[in-house]
Parts: sequence; structure tokens; C-alpha cells
Amino acid sequence: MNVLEFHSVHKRYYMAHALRGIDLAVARGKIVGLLGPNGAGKSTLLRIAAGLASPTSGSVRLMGRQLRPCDKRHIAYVPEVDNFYAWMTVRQAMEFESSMFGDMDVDDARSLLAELKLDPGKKVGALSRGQRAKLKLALAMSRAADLVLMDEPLAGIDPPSRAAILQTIASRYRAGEQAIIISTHEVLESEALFEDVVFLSSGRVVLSGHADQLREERGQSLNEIFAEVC
Amino acid sequence: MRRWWNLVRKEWMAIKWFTLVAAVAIAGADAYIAYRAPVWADSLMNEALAISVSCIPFPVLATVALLAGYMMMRSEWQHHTSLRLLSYPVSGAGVVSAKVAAATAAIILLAAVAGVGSLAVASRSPGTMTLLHPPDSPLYHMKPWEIAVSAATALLTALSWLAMTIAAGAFSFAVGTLVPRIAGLIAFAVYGLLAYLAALYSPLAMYVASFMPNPPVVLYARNAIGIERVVAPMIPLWPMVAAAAALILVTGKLLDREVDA
Amino acid sequence: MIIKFDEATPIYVQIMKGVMWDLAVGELTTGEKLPSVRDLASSAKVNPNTVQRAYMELERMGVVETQRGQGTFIVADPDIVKEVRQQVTEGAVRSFVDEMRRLRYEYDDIIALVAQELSAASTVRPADAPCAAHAQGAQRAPGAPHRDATDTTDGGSSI
Repeated sequence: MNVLEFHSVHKRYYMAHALRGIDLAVARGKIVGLLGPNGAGKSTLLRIAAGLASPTSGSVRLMGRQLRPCDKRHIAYVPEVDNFYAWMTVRQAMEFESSMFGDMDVDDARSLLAELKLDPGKKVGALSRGQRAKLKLALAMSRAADLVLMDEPLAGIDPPSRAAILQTIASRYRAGEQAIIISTHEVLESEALFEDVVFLSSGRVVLSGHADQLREERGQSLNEIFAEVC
Repeated sequence: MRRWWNLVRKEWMAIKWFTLVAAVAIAGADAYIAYRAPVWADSLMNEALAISVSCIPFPVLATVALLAGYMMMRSEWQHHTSLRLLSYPVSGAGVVSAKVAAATAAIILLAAVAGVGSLAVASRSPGTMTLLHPPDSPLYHMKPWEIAVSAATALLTALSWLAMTIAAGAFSFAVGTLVPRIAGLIAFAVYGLLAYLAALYSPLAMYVASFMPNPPVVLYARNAIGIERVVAPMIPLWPMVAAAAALILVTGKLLDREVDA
Repeated sequence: MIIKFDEATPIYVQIMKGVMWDLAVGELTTGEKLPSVRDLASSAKVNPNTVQRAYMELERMGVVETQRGQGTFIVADPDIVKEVRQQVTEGAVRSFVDEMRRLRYEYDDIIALVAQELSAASTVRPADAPCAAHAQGAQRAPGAPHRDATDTTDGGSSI
């Protein structure tokens, strides 16, 4: 069954036409790479999928139903910007998140915080950028969300933290149970994570398919395909 | 509902220190004024000054209420926490009402502290006290239950005014976010428009509300023939409650549709 | 297991190659347990489904077997090492020959180049050896296997 479906979704802002007719279906159990240059509409697409913006036209379905506010409990949305209450400690941030989402495994979250070397007593505002990125990820990946949406999880992060983030996604991903959409314009580092890929350019899907199949058919890496189609 | 309470708790945690510091400051200032009041009691002028100084927190709190809704929303958008807050499975109305509830509670708490402080100052200012509240004051006729009813009505009215005002700030901010570049200007214009509409339609709203059951304020007053018991229905209450609810619902709908961060 | 990705080939194929290579050179032995899907996915930063697919293909080839609840093991059959070693060797030779053919070398040139490289490597390897296209005179190794040219197809996906 498809976790997420987009049917000819358009999104217009006052001046810009951010999405120009997106058709998309994301099946359960997939990690989907949403690849495209800056300004291709990746963030807008994820925001609409997360229920934080509504399409100008077209329909969005979460597990076959129109998205309602209470359906947000099935979704973990990880935006590119840091969206923490700076006055909370790492532990408070985790506990608050678990109080808002019933599907968080608190023990798993604790061990993940330890793995990522995040001090539970530290104020979120005092964390480095890489640490905040890891915390954002840890809160999302310790939940059994049906749909995880990550917007540029590697952007502006130091290399060791990037490695930790990719490893965490690979190890915590609930194979077969959840779908993860990861948007990025830096394909090289993360391309081995993607089972399916969607190439987005100027608000349109220019190519999509199974990652290994595309590699086999075209004899190119995703990064090379990215350079060609976007 | 559990999630809503958690949101209220979060809002309270965010303003907790600010509120506690303000409460301590108000209590401290009033305690000092009350302590010094007998020294100033040599002239009625000085006494009156002491009482009015101790009443400064009230207009300040009213101003805070005017700004609180806008500021609380703005801080979410400034720190991008709106993207977290609105990804929770709570309706936009739930998000806004949690903010309104926390801010209203904090302001009421501060008002209570300031009220106790002002009473303390007044009780130590005998000259002014006898002037405001002479031994033959008709208010001495109030029975305990009448005092309780009047106080409850006053509290309800204060709460609904605060809720309406804070919700108006939140609504103005939410409308502003729809126009990213000039959000502040739009919010200011919307706020002004709301104030204008309130002034324009409040007589009509109160007329309509006068047909509803309204909680009363019971007072005693002296008139030509003696002491008279006055029962005044608090007719602005329902219009303010309705306005607060409408503002919260509409703001919630706006947030459900779009979060421009 | 360290997997160095050449992102142009399917990743499950590369994981399979990695396992087979390790088995061929003795890094893995018969009956040995492979890393769990999750561990390998995490350390290599690969989609767990892709690792799962690679293990399944290896199982289909008879290289590994999955024991329920215990993990994936190299099959206990001692012949498997020989077999895999042969396959890996063939694959390596085939892709080398294929590349040489794409560089427009003929049978004799390739033999000569290999012989030259081997003798050079056994003594001192010249840092800037000129492109050995003129090494026509180098002798052909006796008894060199004579593979038919049509056999050297795409080396990338043949394992």
C-alpha cells in the first residue's frame, strides 16, 4: 500500500510556481531519495506532505486518506532548519516529543542519544550545529512513524556528523514498516541509502524509478544521472 | 486532550521564568511601598501617590496582554519552532488556545500578586483608606456570598478580556505570515482593524448579550433615599468570550492551512 | 567488510562482489557468519533492503544460507570456496581483458603487456613507464590460455 500519494499537485506562491503538477506514490518500506537542485521544490513538496502547507490544486493522500491535522501523528517531519526550543535540555526535548507522539520508543531514543554522544542534560541551545542535526534525526528515528520526511539532513553538517546521520538512518530504519523520503542536492554521499529516487527540477518530476535499476540501465551513478537530468 | 495539556505545559515552561521574576519584582516593590507607607502618611497626597505607584502593574499587565499573543507566536516563527509545533497532531486551534491559556494564566497570576500588593499598601495608608472606604460605606452591607459572586464575575470578565486580547494578537500574527515580506506591517494593520471593529460593534454585541443570562456584580450604593442594592449584569462577558473563541478558531484554521516560515 | 562503492553499478551487485571477494581471498571461510543486514547497512551506509537483496541473491547462488533467527552464513560446503574463487578470478580476468579490448589491444599485445607488467613488478616498478603500446617484442607466455574474444563480454555485471 502507498503511504503517500500526490495527484497532480500544484503549489503557487504569490510570484513563484513552486510545484507544477507532481504525481508521486511512495510505497511502505522504501527509502526514497528526493533529488534536485536548490529551488527545485523539494522543501515545498515535503512541507505539503507533512501537512504544513496545502497544495494550490491537486490532492495529497496519506495512507489513502485526505490528510487531516490528527493524521500528523503518523508523520515525522525533519526540516532543514533547527526547530528546537532552545531552553529545553536534550532530555526534555526527547520527553516532550514522546509526549506528543505515542509511537516513540523512549528506551530506544535514550540509547540512540547515547550512541550519538548527545548529553541528555545539556541545553539544546548550547549544542553545536552537527549535534542539533543529530538530535533532530534521533527524535524522528526513534519513532515508529509510517512516514519520515527529511529535508536536506546533511546540509551544512561536518563530515563525521554526516557519517553518523547516514549510519543512524540505515540502522534505525524500520524496514518494511515505514517509508522515508530524504531530500538532498548532495547525492554522492547518500545515494547508497536510496532504494527509489525521484529527480525534481523546476517543480516537476523529471525522472523517477528504482535506484539500482537506473544504475544498471544507464550505467551511471545517481550523481551522474542527477547532473544529466536536473 | 492530553496532548493539549502538554502544549499548555510547554508554553508555561517557556514563560515560567519571566513570570516568576515579574511576580517577585511586583511583590518586592509592593512590600517596600507598604513598609514605607506609614512614613508617607503625613499627607494625603503622599499616601495617594503610594497607592497609585503600587497600581502601576495593572496598566503594564494590560499592555503585556495586548502584545502577548503576537509575541508568543512570533517567537515560534523566529526560532523555526513553528515547524515542530505545527507538525504535532494537534489542530491549529489547539495550538493557539494552549498559548492563550498559558499567557492568560500567567497574567492573572501577576495581577493577583499586584492586587494583594495594592491591598497591602492601601491597608497601611489610613487616610486614603478612610476616604475611599469610610466606616459608613454602603459596601459594608455586602454579604459574603455577594462578595463571592461579584469577585467571580470580575475574574471571569478579566479572563475573557485577556483571552480575547491575546487571541487577537495571535490572529494578527497569523494573518501577517500569509504575506511574508511585510508580515509585521500586515499584523499591525489587522490588529488596528480588530480594535476598530470592536469599538464599532461592541454596543450592538452588548445589546444582544443583554438578552442572555449574564453573571452579575452585586453592589450597594447610597442614593437620595438611602442604601440601595445594585445588581449589574456583566453584559460584555459573552461578547468577549465569543470573540475569543472565534479568533482562536480562525487562527487555528489559518495555521492548519499554511505555515510560512 | 569494507565496501568501496563504484556508484555506477547496482549496489546489491557490489555487496555480492564484496562477499565473494572476501571468500575468495580467505577473509571469510566456510560456515562463517556474515554481518547482520542491519549492521552491514549501518556500517556501509546502505539501504537495509539492498543488503537483504544481495544476501538473497547470494543464497540463490548457493554461496550463503540463512538460518532462521540466527543470521546468514557462508555455506559449510568446502567446495564453495574453490567455486567462488574461480568465479571471482574469471570475473577479474574478464573485466581486465574487456578493458584492454576497449583500448584496442589484440591478443598478442595483451599477453605481452601482462608478461611485462609481471616481470617489472617482480623487480622494480618504473614510476613513469611509457605507455607499453610498443612492447610488441615481449614474448608470449607458454601455455597461456587462449580465450575466445566473444567470451569477453561486459565484465561489470558478470560474477
